[in-house]
Amino acid sequence: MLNKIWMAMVTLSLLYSMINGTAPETVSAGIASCSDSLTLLVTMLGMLCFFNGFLRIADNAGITKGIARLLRPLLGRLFPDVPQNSDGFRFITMNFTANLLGMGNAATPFGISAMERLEKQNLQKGTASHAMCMLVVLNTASVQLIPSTILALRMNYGASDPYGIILPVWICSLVSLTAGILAACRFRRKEEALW
Amino acid sequence: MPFPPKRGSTVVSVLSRWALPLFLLLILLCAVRHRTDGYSAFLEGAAESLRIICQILPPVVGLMIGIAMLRASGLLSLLARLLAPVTGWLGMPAELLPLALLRPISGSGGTAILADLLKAYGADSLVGNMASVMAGSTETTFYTLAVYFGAVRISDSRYALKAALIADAAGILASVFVSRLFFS
Repeated sequence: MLNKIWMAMVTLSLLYSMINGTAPETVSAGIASCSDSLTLLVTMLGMLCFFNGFLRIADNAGITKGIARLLRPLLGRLFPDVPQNSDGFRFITMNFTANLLGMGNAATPFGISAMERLEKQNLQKGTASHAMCMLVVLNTASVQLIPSTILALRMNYGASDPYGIILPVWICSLVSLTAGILAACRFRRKEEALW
Repeated sequence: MPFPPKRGSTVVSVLSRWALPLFLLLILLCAVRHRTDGYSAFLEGAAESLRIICQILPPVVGLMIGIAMLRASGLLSLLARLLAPVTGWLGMPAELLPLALLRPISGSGGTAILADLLKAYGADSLVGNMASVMAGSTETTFYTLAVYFGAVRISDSRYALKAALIADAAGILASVFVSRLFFS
């Protein structure tokens, strides 16, 4: 899908620029953006090292496990079909906690392991169970305590108050998460009412 | 001591600014109590960052080229003008539409657009702030679905996509509303 989008962006821009006579400027802008991107990525590298470094300390210091324990009651209510002492539940908890701490790359393997366990428990193989749908919703609604990439970008572009967005982001992420959870539960009830 | 909050903003601004320093201190104190080798852990995390940047470099460069060309050719302004009635009704500046649309599809794409918006409108503008909040409240949907369901060969995802898109839409609308509240 990204293929179609990117091809459309570049092709249509080029075509349109030829119609309105800005073709040379458009191509130069494209080329100039490359050095901008590099500068951006290098600055981001520095800031990401800062944040990811601290988050790794958090992880090694057992904060991840601590947060996971706090989340058990909540996650238990969201995944009523998954036994709380199962591996599947444990993976779900670690996945959510990793996302919370902004460690997306750690979250994904946990998420996949969780899916595998859920599929084993699944009575209808090949069809998503409610727990699977809920897990996916939890992963697509970004809830991060510290949105490090965005902070890094804001600092790079000279924001006078880079952290000012943290509280708004928390609020909006919660709204997004709640909406997704409610929608999933509602769809489930509708489907099961039809049986 | 930066205690009296700057910009007259109050509790909200103070909380946001102190959240990170307190969080960092918490991490360090836990590390001490847990007798973790903090420095090694830091180095591991930093090394991971290099890997992440290398992975996102090609898509970010590619998408920024696309966005730069969209802007320079005037096509982006055209699209924004066409969609102005919709976004105006929502209270969302039209410039944020590419972000709202692309972010659920591509994480790096969304990041690239955010970078572009911050550069073009400044990180302190309403557009810049709203874009930051919007980027923080939504996440790649299609890719996540593909990875998670693909990993276990699920072919019928039932309501997962619908629920996820509802979450995205809610996040986007919330960020428009909340940003207006906080930043204007």
